Amino acid sequence: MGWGIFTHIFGAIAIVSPLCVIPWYWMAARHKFLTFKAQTDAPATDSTSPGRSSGSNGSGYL
Amino acid sequence: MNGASEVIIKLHWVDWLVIAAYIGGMLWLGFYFSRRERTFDDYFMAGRNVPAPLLVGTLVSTFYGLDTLLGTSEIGYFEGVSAFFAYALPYAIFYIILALLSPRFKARWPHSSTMQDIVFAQYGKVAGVASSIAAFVYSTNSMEMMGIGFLVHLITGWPLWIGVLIGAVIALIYTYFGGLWADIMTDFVQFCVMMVTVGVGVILAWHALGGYDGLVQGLKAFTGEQDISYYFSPGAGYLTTWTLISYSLTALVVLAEPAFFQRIFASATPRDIKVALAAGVPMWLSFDWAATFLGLLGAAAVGLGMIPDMVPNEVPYAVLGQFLPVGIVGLGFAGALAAAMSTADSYFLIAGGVIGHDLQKVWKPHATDRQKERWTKNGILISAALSISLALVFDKIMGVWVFQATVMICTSLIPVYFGTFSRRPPKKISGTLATVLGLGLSVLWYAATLIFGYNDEELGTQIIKVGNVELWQEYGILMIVPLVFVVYVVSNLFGRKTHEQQVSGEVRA
Repeated sequence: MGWGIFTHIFGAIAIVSPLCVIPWYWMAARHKFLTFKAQTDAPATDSTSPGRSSGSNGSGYL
Repeated sequence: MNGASEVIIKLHWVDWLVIAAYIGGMLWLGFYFSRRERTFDDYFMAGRNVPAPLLVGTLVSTFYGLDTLLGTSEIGYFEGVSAFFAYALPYAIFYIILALLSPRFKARWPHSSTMQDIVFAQYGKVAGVASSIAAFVYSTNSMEMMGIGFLVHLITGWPLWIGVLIGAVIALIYTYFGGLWADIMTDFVQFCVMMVTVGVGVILAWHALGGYDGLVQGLKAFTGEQDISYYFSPGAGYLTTWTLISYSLTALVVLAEPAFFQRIFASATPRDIKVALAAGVPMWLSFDWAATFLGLLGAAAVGLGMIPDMVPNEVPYAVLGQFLPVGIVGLGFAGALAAAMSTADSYFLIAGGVIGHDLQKVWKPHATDRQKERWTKNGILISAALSISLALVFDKIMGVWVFQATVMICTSLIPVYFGTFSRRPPKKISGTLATVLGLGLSVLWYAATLIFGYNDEELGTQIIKVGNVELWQEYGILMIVPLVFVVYVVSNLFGRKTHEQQVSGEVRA
């Protein structure tokens, strides 16, 4: 009988846990969408110059 | 299988509508983000500003794909609950360890994008390249492609290769254009769909079979034996002690998982990644339990004649198709598709990053953002082509996974952790020897077992005989990791300091 109880507990966790995160996700996603929209409205910048190469620590390896 | 044309599970038009809506939504997200990325950091690292809620979805759904659903349920189908206790549970320990360590990685390497960056920075080019090759091998998506092929074959009757191509093209489109943001946003939807459907599926199937009593009756009919207690014994089945240890050790891959490291470095703050990894633990465990019992319930359903006898990989689909109601079946298949695509897209991107970010540092150290992005996209295409080819060659899911995990653990685990957490800067030679040896030996071991070993169909593995000792393919990890550890420690003790280390030591003194 214990197997049935655990199957229901884990099944419930699988169903409920993503649903619990949805409001949290919605707020974060909305913030991102608004940020992207603001960036799109702003004038574009050059992304090809070496100076904008991201994540570099100057060693050439990062 | 490739030439089969029989539709095994018929879907209602409502189910097709759900699947179409899911695919359309994924493609829309990809195109939305493709128009809003400007730098390589935007494309590959989502601007290094991903908050915890978004990280939860992408972490859970990326690491758990169809390989987990099908692999775990395959063991559950034959061996019962040991699939959860012996194979899945050790992973939970390493999720917790990584959750605790992840803020330190983020703080120690704030400008890194990949785990290979650590190896390049601490040990130089040779070690970095070896680690990058391991990450590329690990990120090859053959299992997910194979799983999507099975899925499409089951609901359409089309040959496997058509399903493989369809899955690859859809995941490719939004990943190629949208980068990590598209990956993360689609992963969350996929995470919800896959979790909810396996959760609903396992509970409905449990009741449809008549609970525990029905399960036992079904398993007795399936095995033709009266004693089926080993199905409910955590350490039972064909797994020997050493195989159990080997399978459990593959859980070490959690600590050297390229997709986890990409998300550690892409997180907004160290706290975000710690919270996200910790929150993922109960979700991963619940998915494992559901996958295990979908296998057990599938075996019982075959025994009771509720679903036809089929290859184990198809059983979870058959169970979901049999016991979920109309509309929810469509969601169930979208969930299975989601499990595969959320993993496939992430690893396509990781593999692309190996070429566009990691290896490009060797041949073009001062590449611009546009050049990095272009080569990352080329890498995505190369990885997809390789994944599709391998999916049509391999036919055993666990075998592929154990090989990839072995290569990754043996090559990168020890250099990355010593390189990050040791008090003194490590010697370059130690990382170089450890990565090259780890990569070389793990590939040689698998090649040797394939060439000189024999295939045991009952046990489902390659075995090589040395004297009277039978060594399974899976034992490689047990032999190579300790050897790499010894080589690393000894060479770090006796190796020569680099010029930078000597200068740094003098300054400290």
